[in-house]
Amino acid sequence: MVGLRRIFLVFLKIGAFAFGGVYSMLSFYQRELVDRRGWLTQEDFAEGVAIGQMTPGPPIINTGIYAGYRLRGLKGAISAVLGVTLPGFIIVVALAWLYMKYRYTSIFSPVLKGLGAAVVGLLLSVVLRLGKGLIKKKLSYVISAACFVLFYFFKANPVLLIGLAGVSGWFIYGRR
Amino acid sequence: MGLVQIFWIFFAVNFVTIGGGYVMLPILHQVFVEHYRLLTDKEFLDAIALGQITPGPLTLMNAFIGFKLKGLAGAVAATAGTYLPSMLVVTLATKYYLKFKDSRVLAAVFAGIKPAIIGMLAAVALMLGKTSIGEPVTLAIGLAAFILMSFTRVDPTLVIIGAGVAGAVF
Repeated sequence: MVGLRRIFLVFLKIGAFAFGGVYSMLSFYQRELVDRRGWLTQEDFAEGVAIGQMTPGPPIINTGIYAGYRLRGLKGAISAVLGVTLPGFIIVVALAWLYMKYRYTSIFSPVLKGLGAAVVGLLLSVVLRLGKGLIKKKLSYVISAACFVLFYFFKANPVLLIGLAGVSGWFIYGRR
Repeated sequence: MGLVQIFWIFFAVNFVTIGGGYVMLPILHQVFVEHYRLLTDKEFLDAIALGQITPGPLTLMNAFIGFKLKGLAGAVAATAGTYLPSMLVVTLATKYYLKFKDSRVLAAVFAGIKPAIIGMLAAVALMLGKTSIGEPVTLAIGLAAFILMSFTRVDPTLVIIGAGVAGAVF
């Protein structure tokens, strides 16, 4: 069984270094939890991403709670959330304090330029590896492609798309 | 505004929104900037920027709003309010998902949902790429990050640090 302290520390690392927002965090989760430690399979991870998107609140935190819960139940979930939010919380409070005091304006924009570009690469890599692991059935490609088009070109509501995809799955695979 | 109210506002907003940071932004703007007039537009935008430059989720910007309203205790109240709904709902959802995941209906529903998520993530990658990749340098950074993450086992921490340095230097 994975120790709570280990869960906390791995999520602390993710929380401390995942600059670039939620999509960068997705890549960190996949590397740390799936590739490196084998705590989740690609399949488990994809389910965690799906559940994270379908539940209220920030999806990336929800996926972390799912992972922590799978590893060690409620205590695992709490360890994961505390770990992943603590570093950012401390930094935000420190910067907020500086902000109130000096009204500082961002000096970070050149660094952010590089991060923004890297996040695109990180996210594409998540897509590639999840896709390789999951899309075995031909109809899955159709669902993926349809959601891509509807989301990218028609700005369809993601919650609606997930609902429709779930119903399609039920029609295609659920009744034999 | 008291601590309990700060907690409740973030709790309620996160309990009723699905999709996180960017879905929550218009609601928070309406509550704190337009209705209570406790933050200016500039401060709200700075909160977003702060959420973006810090590691971890954008929603940590709520700690900034809490801090602005009520100091450290306000930051804690805002953060707790933000993540508590997830804690309650997701642990229950995961519990029941694990219990029923082998049932044919749930397995079939998720067989539909998983490729949908992958398709949407690909779309998000493209949207992000349109704003953040424009010149040869950023294209090279994006490509390098993709290759390193897909075909090697390099630590993403190094990729992120490398990308930040490369963005600042070139």
